[in-house]
Amino acid sequence: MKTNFPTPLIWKSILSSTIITAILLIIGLFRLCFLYQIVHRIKLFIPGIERYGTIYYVGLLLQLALCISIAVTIFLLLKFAGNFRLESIILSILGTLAFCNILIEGVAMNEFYSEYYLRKWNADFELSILNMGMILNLVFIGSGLWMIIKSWIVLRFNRRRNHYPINETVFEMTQYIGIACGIIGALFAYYGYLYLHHYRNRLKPDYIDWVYTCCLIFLLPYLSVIIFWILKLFVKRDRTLYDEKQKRDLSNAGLTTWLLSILILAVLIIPNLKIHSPALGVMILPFYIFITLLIFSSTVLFNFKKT
Amino acid sequence: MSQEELANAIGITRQSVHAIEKGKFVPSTLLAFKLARFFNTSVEELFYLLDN
Repeated sequence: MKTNFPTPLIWKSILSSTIITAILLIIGLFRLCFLYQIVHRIKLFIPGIERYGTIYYVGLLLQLALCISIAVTIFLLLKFAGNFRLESIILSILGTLAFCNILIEGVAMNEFYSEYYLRKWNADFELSILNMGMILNLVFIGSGLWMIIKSWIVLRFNRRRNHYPINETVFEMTQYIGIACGIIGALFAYYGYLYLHHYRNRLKPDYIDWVYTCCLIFLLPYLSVIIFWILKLFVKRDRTLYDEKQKRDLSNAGLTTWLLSILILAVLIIPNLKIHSPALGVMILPFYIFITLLIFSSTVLFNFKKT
Repeated sequence: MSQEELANAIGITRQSVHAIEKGKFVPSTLLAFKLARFFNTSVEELFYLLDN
């Protein structure tokens, strides 16, 4: 089956969306150069770094706008402009990581500035996080630009292309996003536990609120795709979202996740039964949520692709 | 005919068509009838039990 090529209104929507995304991608490139300069200046203790603070936080907001814009563009391209399956999957993974990195980068930059620049302490960990974030963003922006160029070629030459149904691609994307969120969230919960355990004697409620807010932010990309599925369910008349095999894959993954989560909880809790650490009580729920998300999405994807 | 053309016609995913072809997924009776109707044949012509 071939795609029906976009109507003029949809064509305009796709074009505006890709133009906005292209502009944000170019701004993102400038932001990366700016970030590199800030890190370089902090490393060398160049004075007057404070005046760039506002621009830096505006840059983070633009990065958020870029993630949203890319998500909208992916949806429009998948729905109306043919085969962008590979680009969509790659960008959904990179976009999820880039979205979570907004928070991680903001915190790491704040710590790098206050610990290294102001207090002259060692901040190699924060610096490595900032460097990894810059590499991730560079790959994300590069992939985004590739998708935009490809979409313009498709629109310009009005090519009719074979395509995968949007259901299948979004189903696959959902699992990749679940895996990315699961890995980031589980790592965060683990490091959060170490952090809270270290400060267990002077643990403030603010820390706990902050940790739970971060967990919620790391879940947002997955939640947004789930909301997409729910909206789709309401729009569809027959109330069926998945085909038989997808339902079987989801059921098998549910059972596997349930059994493995019992095992993981046992491994986590039994050795720590005699340790009275509030950190464990705080972090066990986020860790459980993210690890089950990781197992569930990985198992669904494995079943979907391999069986 | 490609897998995705068949998948779109029947209303399932390409991955499901692939799994049915490979014998990794056994479709329901309803889906078997849909496939048979699409190919203008009977279910027995499309699906059969192996002796062992």
